[in-house]
Amino acid sequence: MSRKQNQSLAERMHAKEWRALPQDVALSGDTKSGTRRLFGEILRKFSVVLLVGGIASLFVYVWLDMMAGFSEEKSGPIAVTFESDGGMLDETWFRAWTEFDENSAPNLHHLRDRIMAYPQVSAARVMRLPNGDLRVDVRERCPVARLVDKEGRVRLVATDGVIFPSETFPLQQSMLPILQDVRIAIDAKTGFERVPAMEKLTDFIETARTAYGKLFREWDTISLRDFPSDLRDIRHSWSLIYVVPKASAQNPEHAKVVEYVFSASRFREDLKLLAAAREHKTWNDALGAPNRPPAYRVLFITNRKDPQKEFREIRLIPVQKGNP
Amino acid sequence: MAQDNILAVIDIGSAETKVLVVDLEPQLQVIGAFCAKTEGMRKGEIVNLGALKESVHSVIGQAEKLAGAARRVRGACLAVSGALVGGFSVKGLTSVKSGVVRADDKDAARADAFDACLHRIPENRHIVQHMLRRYLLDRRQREEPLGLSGRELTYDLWVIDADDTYLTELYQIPNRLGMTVRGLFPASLASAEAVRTFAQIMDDNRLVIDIGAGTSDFVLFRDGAVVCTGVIPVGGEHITNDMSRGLQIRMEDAERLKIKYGNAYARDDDVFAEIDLDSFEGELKGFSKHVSRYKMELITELRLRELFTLIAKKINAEEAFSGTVFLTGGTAQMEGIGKLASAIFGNAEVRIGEPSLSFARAYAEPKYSTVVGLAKLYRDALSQKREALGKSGWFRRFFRGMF
Repeated sequence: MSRKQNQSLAERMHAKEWRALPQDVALSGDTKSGTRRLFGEILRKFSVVLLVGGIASLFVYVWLDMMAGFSEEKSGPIAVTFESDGGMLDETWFRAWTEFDENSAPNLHHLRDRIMAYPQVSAARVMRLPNGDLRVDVRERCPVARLVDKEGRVRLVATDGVIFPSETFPLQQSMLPILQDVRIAIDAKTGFERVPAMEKLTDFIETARTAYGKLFREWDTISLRDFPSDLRDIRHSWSLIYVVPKASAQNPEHAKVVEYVFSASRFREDLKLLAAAREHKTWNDALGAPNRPPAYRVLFITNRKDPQKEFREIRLIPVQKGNP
Repeated sequence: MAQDNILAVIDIGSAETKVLVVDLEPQLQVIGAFCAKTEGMRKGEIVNLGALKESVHSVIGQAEKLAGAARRVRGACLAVSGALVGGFSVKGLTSVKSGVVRADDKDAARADAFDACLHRIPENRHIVQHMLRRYLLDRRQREEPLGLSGRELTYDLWVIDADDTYLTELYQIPNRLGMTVRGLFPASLASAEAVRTFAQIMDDNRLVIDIGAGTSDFVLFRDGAVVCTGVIPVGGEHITNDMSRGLQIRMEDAERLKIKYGNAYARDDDVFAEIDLDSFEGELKGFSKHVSRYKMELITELRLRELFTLIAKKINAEEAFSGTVFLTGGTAQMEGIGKLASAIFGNAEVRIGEPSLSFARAYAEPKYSTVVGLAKLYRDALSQKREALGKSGWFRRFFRGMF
């Protein structure tokens, strides 16, 4: 008998076996145990559906609410409580900048993104209060220097190097030193303009402002022509900070010192040395002697004559006025 | 969550339903069992399907609870017995063309036997199990004919079949509880499997008789192979019924009398001895009733003698039986039954068979033979199936388990 015939026979045998009889496997409530089992099965399935549905609904609700910025409609106009730790930005700015519509519930994420798009803001938190009103907390960037472009427009430089407009700042802030010869970079993440390696320069300015206020008040511009863009280059001897003092009547040195040249890595010692020297009588004698050159550049160098006792010292370099 | 490796093994007897909830993996073990009175079944036949379902479902539920697997069992294995189960022999014949029996010749003889089986089996019946009885090569019996010389090879097949309506009704019981029938075996084979001991040699000639309440199943092995199976619609209930009528006592009293004082071999040493029915524990009656012990034993003997004679007649139809007789089932516990059987089966050695399988030590009573044997048969069949499927079967089970 051929294999095909055998197969057919096997199929016929299989069709006559007890397994071929149809089984109607279904719970029915025709017995007490069956009813209990049916009820249990329905309850189990219902619980599973409820659990899965609940989880899915929660997920969808959270997702939709996230998309809507956890929005919750309020019938009346939405009040805004605005708090800023810098104190320069206020609710007026907030409404103007975000074009806030108090009659419609905003997307909080979009609102926060809009606030963060202003370079003066370093952090923002937007919350919806239980009554539907908004609370906005803003942390502002603190300016340490100014930038003046060719058109005469003044912008401020924050401690982290971000450049932001000065419109919201009072006039007193114009006392900040002006940065010159600055290489401006664009932050890839935020798109803001920023001054690279500003952390070290901020340290320098803040040290001068807090510890040597008398010196700092006389500073007009800070040139960054020899200041590195990379913080790792600060330790090199060529990393220098040029400070030009103000040309004003309150500054007796303005006519004599054209600039101070601080080391970017050892500016603390230099500042200390300069402050000490200026308190000394010989400083004025050196600058004011009649037979002396008309102006000086003040340099700070390391005296390495004795390697065991190297120290910083001030050098006054004579320069022709008007030709530094 | 439903577990595939947990199975409910169900033996629906006329008097009692026995359910074992077994864990098939990693090795067969009983994790829950329950036994209770069956309703809706009489003499091996379903007389009230609703009542039967109610009682069997209740037993399954209890067994599941005891197993700690409430509502998790999704598979069932059943035993078939009763008047609607039958067996017949068919022979497949092929001529050995090359003179030496090859695998092709065996296949041809087997296919011929299957063909004959399909022609013989009625439209309204399905095969429960079929098994090889023996090979005959030129009319001489051969255990394995492969490579032997001969002209004519015969494949002798024993087929056990059952009525479709009976099977459909039987299926309904687990189906309505959300269970699929995964295994179906004749009760006689299950009992024989349960009482098979390690010491017993495989090629033993033995006759296993499972005397239940409504029916008695028997299977005859000759040289280790099944020769014939059968069901005699006589069981313990008939004895009770006879006692009730013969002694004119209530059925309940007759049942208790049978259990407590029943003896299969009538003792004529004291024919005037009487049994006081008031001596039953925990029962007080307003009047005293005495029955003759000899009469009671004589009724029992006559009924059992009839049963054994019927079986002997069937098994001796082809060849006279000589071997060991194993008696099992609830009625096998009756005193003197071995002596009676021995007398009828030509002074054969008679033993009372109790389940001796290690996984069911707690159920070593003759009445549990069928249910214990069922579990063993299903596990063996499953192992064979898995071996045949090989690695693909493992992957299939793995993925089915995952999803």
